[in-house]
Amino acid sequence: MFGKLIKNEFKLTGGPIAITFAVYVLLSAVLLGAIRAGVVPVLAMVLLFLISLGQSFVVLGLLVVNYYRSMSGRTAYLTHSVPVPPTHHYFSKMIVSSLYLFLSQCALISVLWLGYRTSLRDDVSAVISRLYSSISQSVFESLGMSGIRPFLPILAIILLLLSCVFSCATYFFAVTLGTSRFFRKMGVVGPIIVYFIQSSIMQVLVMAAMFTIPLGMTISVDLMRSGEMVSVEWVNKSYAWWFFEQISSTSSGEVPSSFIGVGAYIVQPVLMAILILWSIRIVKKHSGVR
Amino acid sequence: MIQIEHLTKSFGSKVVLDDISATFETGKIIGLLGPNGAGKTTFLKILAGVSGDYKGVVRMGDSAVGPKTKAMTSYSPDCEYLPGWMNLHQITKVYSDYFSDFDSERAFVLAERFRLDPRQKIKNMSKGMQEKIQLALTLSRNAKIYLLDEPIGGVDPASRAAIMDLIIGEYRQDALMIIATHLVADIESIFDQVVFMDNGKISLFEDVESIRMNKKKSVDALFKEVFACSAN
Repeated sequence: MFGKLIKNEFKLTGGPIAITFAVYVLLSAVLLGAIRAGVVPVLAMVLLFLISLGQSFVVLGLLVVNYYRSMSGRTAYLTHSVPVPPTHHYFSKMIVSSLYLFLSQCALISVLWLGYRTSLRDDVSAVISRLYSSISQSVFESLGMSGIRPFLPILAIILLLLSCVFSCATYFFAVTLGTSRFFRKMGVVGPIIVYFIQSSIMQVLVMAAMFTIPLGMTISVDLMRSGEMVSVEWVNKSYAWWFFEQISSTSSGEVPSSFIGVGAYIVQPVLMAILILWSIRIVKKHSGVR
Repeated sequence: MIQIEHLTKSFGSKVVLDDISATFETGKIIGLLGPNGAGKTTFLKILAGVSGDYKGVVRMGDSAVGPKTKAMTSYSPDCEYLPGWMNLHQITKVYSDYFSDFDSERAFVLAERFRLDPRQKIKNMSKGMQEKIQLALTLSRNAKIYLLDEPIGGVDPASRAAIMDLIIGEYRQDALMIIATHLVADIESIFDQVVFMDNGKISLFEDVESIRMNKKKSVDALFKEVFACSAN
């Protein structure tokens, strides 16, 4: 039955998303052609960026509206009449929505990459490619995992997929809690309020983790260096510690470094799990059905 | 078939169902009657498994409300719930996927009896037509329990007779059917038993024959008498 739920979920959202992708591909092709031909290239690049963002928002909007309608709107009567545990509904929507969002992000990245390849001069493009290569090499070396560097694209795909799952979990939670009986009287404003409250709390928690958990990476970039332009070092310091070190440092002439507080990346999966479990708890009670 | 013990449901401080206990047997068509806000819709939602967070015990056969009871319960709510962009062909495929007891051919036969175009999108249908298609889908399942919430609420008087004929025609003796309505006069002829609900409580649960014999009244007359008094 779970397979049938997934199949019907693909059908429910497939039509409008396919149209969105088709329009996006068509417009992108026209704009990429304009960039290649040198016809208003700057404007075309800006438009390409805007329609890429627009496509991403439209797909996300369609997925959230579908979730709202089928879990809390009138179609929820059909959804919750189906003889499966409520968790099946949640996870079928989560899987399908994450995949659609992933496709949307892949399309966005591909089109913007094509735009950048078409518009940038070869020498600038080469510097950026070298910089990217240097960063990835340094990161993996600092982790002692140089061997998995060839699998970087796979790792990037997994990370992108996880970020899509996280986005879906965030928006689905806002809709699930925002349409539960505590917020029901507010109508469509309920999920919006929940989303802003939830986003604010999560931002605070992520920032707090980044500032306080003593684990991070310092990244130093020196474009003038002939060998490795980037050096990455793992440090047992929090962002707050590193920040105070930077402002109290009197030394000059050092290569400027930036710091990534890893605490944020430890807390995010935990938050995602909490949002998913909380959403399931509400869905089990069906308290969102009007 | 359905056993309910001390069922209570609240929305905040408002008690919608107040300590209801009842037993409904197979082979009956039961009218769930009451004024607006009596708790009929909430009661059916709980039986159908689309509303949880209640106190008390609801059992169907030997199971508590859940996937097993949903598999044997065919429910038609009092609002349009089908995806508007679909037509009958598409929605019957969805029903066939979700409900193993769904008879797709019967759905088309019933839709034809209502003169519904199977290619017409649901969102382009009138409220009455949507109710008819929902009823056709609900009755096309070989379920053990049918829960119909206001099945004739949005249809014209001429179609009501057709719907009633359909309900009687499609009803099987090995099933239980509960129909919630406040249009008592139009539908009382098909009931075996009636339940009067008022302010979340069952105020009367009796055989229709017994009402006619002992009280010398129609169900509609009794309904008007009981609820006119409660309104005063």
